[in-house]
Amino acid sequence: LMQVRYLPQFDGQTLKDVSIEVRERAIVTLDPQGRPVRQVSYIEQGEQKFVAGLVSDGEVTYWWTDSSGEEHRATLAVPAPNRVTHVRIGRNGSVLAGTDRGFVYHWGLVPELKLTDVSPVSRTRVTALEWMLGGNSWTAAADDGSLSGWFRAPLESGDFAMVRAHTFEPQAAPVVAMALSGRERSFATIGRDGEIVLRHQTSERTLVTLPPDGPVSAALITPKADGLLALEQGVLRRFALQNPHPETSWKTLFGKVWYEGYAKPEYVWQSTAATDDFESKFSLVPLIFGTMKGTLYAMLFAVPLSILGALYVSQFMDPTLRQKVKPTVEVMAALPSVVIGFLAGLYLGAVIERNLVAVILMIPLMLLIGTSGVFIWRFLPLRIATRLRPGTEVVLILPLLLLAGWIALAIGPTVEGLLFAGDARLWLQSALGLTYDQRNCLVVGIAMGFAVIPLIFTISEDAFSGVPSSLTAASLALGASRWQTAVQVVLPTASPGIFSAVMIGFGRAVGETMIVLMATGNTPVMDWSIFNGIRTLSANIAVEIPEAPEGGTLYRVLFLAAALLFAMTFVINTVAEVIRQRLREKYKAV
Amino acid sequence: MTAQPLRRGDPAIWLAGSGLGVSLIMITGMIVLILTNGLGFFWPGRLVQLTLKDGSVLLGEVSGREPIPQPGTPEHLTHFRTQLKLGNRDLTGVDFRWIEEDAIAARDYPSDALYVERREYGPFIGRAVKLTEGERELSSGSEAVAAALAPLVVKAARDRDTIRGLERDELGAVNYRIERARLEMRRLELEAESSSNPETAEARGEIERETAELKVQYGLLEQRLATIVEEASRTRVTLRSASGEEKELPVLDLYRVYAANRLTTSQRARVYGSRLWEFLSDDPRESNTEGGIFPAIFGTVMMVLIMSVLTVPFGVIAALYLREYAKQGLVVRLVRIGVNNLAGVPSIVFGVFGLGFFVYFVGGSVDRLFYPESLPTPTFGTGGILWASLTLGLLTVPVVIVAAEEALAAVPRSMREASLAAGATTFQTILRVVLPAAAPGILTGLILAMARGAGEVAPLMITGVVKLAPDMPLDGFFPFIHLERKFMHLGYHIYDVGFQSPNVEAAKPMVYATAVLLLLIVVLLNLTAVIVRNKLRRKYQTSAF
Repeated sequence: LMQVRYLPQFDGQTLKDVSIEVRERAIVTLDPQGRPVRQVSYIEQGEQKFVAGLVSDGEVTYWWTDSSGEEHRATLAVPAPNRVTHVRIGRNGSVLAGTDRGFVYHWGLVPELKLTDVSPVSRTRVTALEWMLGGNSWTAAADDGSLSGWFRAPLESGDFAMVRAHTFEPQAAPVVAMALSGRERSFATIGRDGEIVLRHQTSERTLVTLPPDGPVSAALITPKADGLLALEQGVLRRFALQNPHPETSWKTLFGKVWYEGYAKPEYVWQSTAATDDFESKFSLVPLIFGTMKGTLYAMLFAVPLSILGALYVSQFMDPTLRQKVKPTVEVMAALPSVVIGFLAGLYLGAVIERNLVAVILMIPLMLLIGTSGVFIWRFLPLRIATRLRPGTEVVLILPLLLLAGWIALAIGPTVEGLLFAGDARLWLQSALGLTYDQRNCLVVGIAMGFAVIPLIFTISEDAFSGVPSSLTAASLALGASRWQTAVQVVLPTASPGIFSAVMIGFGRAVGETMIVLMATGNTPVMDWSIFNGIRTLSANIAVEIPEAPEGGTLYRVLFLAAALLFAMTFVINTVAEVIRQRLREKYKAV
Repeated sequence: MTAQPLRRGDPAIWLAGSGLGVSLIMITGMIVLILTNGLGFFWPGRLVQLTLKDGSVLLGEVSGREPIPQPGTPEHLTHFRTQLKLGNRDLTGVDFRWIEEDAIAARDYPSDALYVERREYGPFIGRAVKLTEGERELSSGSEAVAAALAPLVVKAARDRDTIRGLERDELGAVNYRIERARLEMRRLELEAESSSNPETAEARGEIERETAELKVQYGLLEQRLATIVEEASRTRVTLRSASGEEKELPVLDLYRVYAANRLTTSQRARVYGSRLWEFLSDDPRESNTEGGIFPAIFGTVMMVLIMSVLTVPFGVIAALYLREYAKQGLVVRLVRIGVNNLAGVPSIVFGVFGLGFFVYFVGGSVDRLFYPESLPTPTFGTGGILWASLTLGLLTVPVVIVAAEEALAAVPRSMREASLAAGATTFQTILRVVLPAAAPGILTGLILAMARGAGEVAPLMITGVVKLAPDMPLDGFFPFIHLERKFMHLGYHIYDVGFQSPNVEAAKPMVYATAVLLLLIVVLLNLTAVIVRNKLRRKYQTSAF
């Protein structure tokens, strides 16, 4: 075993001389029987050394040292009639042997040397076999031109099995050699006819194809991944290589990708990790999903409350009260979202966690008791009842709502004890299998709903107030009640305005950043449970862009996310505007 | 009798009213919550000494109480626990502790318990032991030391001011000049590389001499500072915690000392006032969880002002064009829809644009052209107050345009016609008649834009806001306004202290207090806008005849 060191000597900027130092590291007798070694594969990992040599058609001799420096030796046999064509050692001493029957045998060394998988790569001879960057997955080419990527994926049982995770675009002639980039997961495949194709492993992309120009015997990607060397019949050709974002394609951004170590293809966003051979996973789907989920819950909370509120203020409320209430809600629109967000994250999250049942009960109970005020009002002593003119119901409603809130808090623990065995979160976990995050979508829904209520309220109140009084007067004169007038005359007339209010509220919720940033755990998971956290496009940008190097892949993907957000809100706002104008035309006649 | 209101839909009206009521209760609840938490924080509470049944003694401020959840047992929520703010983070490692009330043997309020605010590790809660100056003991015993401390703490504040003055102004000035000399040197070197000018060698020698002189000055100042610090740190106080551990501190590090259980209400109010003043006027301490937020207030105000200076002309000119000059057609309608749409674009998108365009593209170019001497350290090619203000300007310009257009439209036609009939040109009419009449409306728009700008955080956090900016964007060194500097911002302060600080529980009151301030600014700006608008409406109602 020899080590060759090239020592370039520089004189200022110019290369003066390259001295070559050859150092003997170890001499290993691979085969005690002294058969000639046809092929050898060698790697070093830390202090450990691994050497495997092909000594006969079906036998590979394997020599390695463990972490204590002790030498080991084994013979790996492939059953006949397989004949080994390629031997390669990967990380932790895993050995691959490709055969002329199209199988790839895999022996693992940890915890003990064992044949773990036999992978049917093709029906034809394996013509090239290489471990990919990181040494966890490998790519095999076969005589029929097929090219596939494999790695050991976790099974549900906890075991691992070799799976065909990637299939690459086949080449005209069988691939005879591969050259790997030492920087990322790009690799070049060299066909028998001399065609060189640059590909990327995870994204399965074919990056570039160099047409054949005579047979190529060897190729190499330079260590900085800025060039590709090919040896063509004794002529060394150098191609400049510029390959800035090989791992991203529409498919990796929006489709399922089978990443190394995952059980199946999935949508994953994970931009950084602690390990070196980590691969960035940029799927925008979980983020879009999170955005939509958060927005949906916020709208579920905000739309009923704000439209009911607007209807009440514009149609039923006493004018003097209205003049006080409207500015209050408008000022609420100006509340900085960072304040709402921090309250949601630091206060509401903890309160809801403690009183989950009470909070869920609270809103329906409030609406119920508030509504029942109509009956309470009838039984009030006449002296007080007459002072509550129509339009001042809210004066009675407010204390009723506070009472309802108090009742909800008071009966919460009892209900929890009766229905959920005393702990709703535990019950969710055991009965429904739902995990509970402290900063979840319920919190976001309420907080973001709170932020959009004033927006929807103001616009729909304007729409309701804009309905000509001649219409309401006519309806009332014909004997319709106040409510009938509101629902059957005012609501249809104002519907374009209401629609646009909801759309604008939706647009605001989609782009809201600080609230989601603070009120969720920013976990990019995909499920509909209201008790889980989310990560939205906007929060993701805020979290990641300060660390994204300018011009890098992450930076560009985040710009794409911003462009997506822009497009979403732009479309929503434009649609809102257009529909409002069109419906307005329609109702102009009324 | 009840059937009739049901049919008429009266309950539905009450339902609608309840919808409004829920919203109103949420707003009030939120504001009350922030106000009580934020303003209550400065009020000095009493210190309680708890003797537990196991014999241990705890001294601290009660900060919470809740029932203990024990689901499935009859004891569920019937027993309580108390949260105590213990302070003394350097001794125990924790600020807060929950104590089950069943474990408490005795509660009392010792009159000699001191609440000591200091430079590091949060407050110290305990008793004073002795006061020493060098080797000499000045006084001992909790009462005597506490009495002797009061004037010393005042003196410590003065000393700190002197030290900070020296550090910031004199040392800072010398440092600043050294840095400028270094950059000048580097610039000359770069110049020398491209052309060999004999004058540069002379200039370089000059700079070298100057630098050497400055370094001598710097050394002298540093010595002076060291002696002052040493002198001031000679007086030291020894404190003892409830569990008996002692801690010696230089008086210079003390910010406020009071015997919490002996204060009269008016004394409490005085402590409250001084804490509030510290909060508004001082620099932050202990990774922003204590001290004041003055740099954040300053940064916010300055950013909003720069933003206004940039937005108003653009917004008003755009509105003038759209309303007074442009032919009302498809293009103008499209522009209007575009402006409205711009107002609905998420703020983070503006932030991303600001980062990509202003910071990296414009800032990077400015650096290469004008500040090559300090590269690779970016000057304008990194987030700064100018870029943040510009980004916010883009964000708020639609608000100004819309408000200005409305204001222009509200100017009575008769006024315009009168001016034109008197022979004024369109431009003169606009400048002398229309704009003055529309000014209050434009002002309203500006105030609304300022309110929006002050409350916005997301775009700022990627274009130049930082958690701690040692240098303010405005100071006494030429050119006085440093637009390239990073700055602090109230909204970001809330996010940072509440979510990124290592000790969130201890930082919470600070977050609430900052939120109160931000809320106050934003709500006041909005109310001003509403009032201005209402006044305006009345004015035009009377003038419309």
